[in-house]
Amino acid sequence: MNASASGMSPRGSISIREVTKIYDPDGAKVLAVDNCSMEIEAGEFCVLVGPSGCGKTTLLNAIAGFHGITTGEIWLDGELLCSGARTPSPGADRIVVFQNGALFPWFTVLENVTFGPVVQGGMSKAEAHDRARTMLGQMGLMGIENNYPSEISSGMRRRVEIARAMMNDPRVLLLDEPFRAMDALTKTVVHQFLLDVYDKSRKTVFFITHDLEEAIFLGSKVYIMTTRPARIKKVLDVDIPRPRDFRALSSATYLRLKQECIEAVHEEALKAFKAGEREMA
Amino acid sequence: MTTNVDALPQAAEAKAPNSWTIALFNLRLWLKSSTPYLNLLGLAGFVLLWYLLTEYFKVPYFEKLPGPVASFREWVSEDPAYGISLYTPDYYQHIGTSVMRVLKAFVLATLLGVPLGLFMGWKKIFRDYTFPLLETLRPIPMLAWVPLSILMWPGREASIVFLTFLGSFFATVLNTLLGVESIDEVYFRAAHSLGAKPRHVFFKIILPGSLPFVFTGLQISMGFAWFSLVAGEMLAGEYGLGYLIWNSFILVQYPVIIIAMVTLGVIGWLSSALIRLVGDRLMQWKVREACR
Ligand SMILES: Nc1ncnc2c1ncn2[C@@H]1O[C@H](COP(=O)(O)OP(=O)(O)OP(=O)(O)O)[C@@H](O)[C@H]1O
Ligand SMILES: [Mg+2]
Repeated sequence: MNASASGMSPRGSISIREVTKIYDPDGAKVLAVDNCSMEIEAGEFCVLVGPSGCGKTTLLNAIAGFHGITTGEIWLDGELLCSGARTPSPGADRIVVFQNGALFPWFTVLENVTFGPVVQGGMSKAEAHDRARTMLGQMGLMGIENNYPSEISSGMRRRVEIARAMMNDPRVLLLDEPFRAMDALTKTVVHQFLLDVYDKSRKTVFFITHDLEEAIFLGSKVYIMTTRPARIKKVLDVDIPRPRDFRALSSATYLRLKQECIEAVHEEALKAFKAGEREMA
Repeated sequence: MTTNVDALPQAAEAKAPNSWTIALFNLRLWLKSSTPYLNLLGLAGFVLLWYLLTEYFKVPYFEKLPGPVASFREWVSEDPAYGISLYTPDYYQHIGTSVMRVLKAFVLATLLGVPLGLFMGWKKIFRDYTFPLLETLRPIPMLAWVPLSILMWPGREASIVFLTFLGSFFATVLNTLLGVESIDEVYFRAAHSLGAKPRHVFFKIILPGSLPFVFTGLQISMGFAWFSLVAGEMLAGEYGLGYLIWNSFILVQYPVIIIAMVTLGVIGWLSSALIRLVGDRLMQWKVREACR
């Protein structure tokens, strides 16, 4: 939340060009993503919604570098991340926050948050601890640095995980349904938290969700995807001013966008249903 | 920041307790529950039954066995009829010999087995080479190793330690391997995403992540070590509790058999309690998770 405030050139633009991903090309040939293109600007809060199993995670994992793609190209700030011929590798410039959380249970909050800087070797342990304490303080997460993840609430864990990602000053924050299993109250807290982090850092955020309200409340752009194989069906520009808080949820713009979103998604859900696919949440 | 309001009360509640406080708290909780008293009652009931069968009613089949009263008298006697009691140095020599053998074998098995298991879990190629071998050797009963062990090692000491080691070793390797496999894939992804290099993955993910299984494995392997030790000592020994049991049988000194058996039981139990203690110290995260 600190470094980028002084960062000059915007970083974190992602260009997804005609990406196709086929799982198990020699066997079952599951076409997960089909000729999908997206241009995500640096500093954009991009939200992907789409039916279950349509290929959202597949796309995110390719950006994260966990697996390759079959054809097409993904670029990050003008550098080729991966293409059909180039297998990507994960890196601290694109940090993933996972659906079920991936804080290391054997490390304390502080050890988790400093994991990135310590293994990358750019910082001494003491320095990393100092910075982590400062950041946890700024994020309202003080007093828990010596607790283990199992000792803090799920909402707290998710915020710590976002803090762990931000410690690396990544170019992109990749979030795969990070708040899915949370109750409504906890969700409002983590939403506000993520919005605050975003407002202060203006990182590029790539956020996957099933929850349309969450999508519009958080995102600058909402990409609605088709049923599998994934393609972009519709892009909504969310012109609700920032900083946002819960009051945005009752604005006319919000309600209009939600209506638009529901219609588009409903169409896809019906298609998915007819195709015998699993229902979307 | 709006989140402050929510963070403060939770932060206060989740203050990190130290391990002594937890241990003491757990002990107090345990003493308040019915568990320890039922434990004692169960033990007492067993001894009473044994007494009734062997010494009081002298039920057929049981009458030849040494009873608890006779054995206990022998155990605390200053001048034991068969030369083994709390007051004889021989008793401690037997215990000491057995404990040393188990210790040597167990330490060796742990030092070799844990790294081997971690490596097998870490590198698929390495596992592909070694796993079938492990799975073929593991089911061979310890007694089947006796002849080879005697042929291979010069003295009986080394061959007993070797047998004990084998029993311990396979359990350690297998559990460590299972421990590595139990680590959720998502932690590896998270580590890579955060920029971890292979050595970090090994020392910061694989090693701590597999520790719970490793320690379960060490407890099992300690059990196997005692098991194999006694088998070894019965066959070729001069000292040791296994030897004492067999020798007392041949010399018709039956109460000594009971003394040695109970001693084995208690030491075996203590040694696995010790492993658990060390495990708890190394895995505070597990301990604290459990007392939530
Ligand atoms: N490793 C794999 N091998 C074969 N098929 C896979 C694999 N991973 C995913 N798939 C298939 O690819 C499709 C897209 O999966 P993906 O996980 O990207 O969907 P998703 O949009 O993230 O779904 P959800 O909303 O349920 O998380 C699914 O039909 C899935 O069954
Ligand atoms: Mg998914």
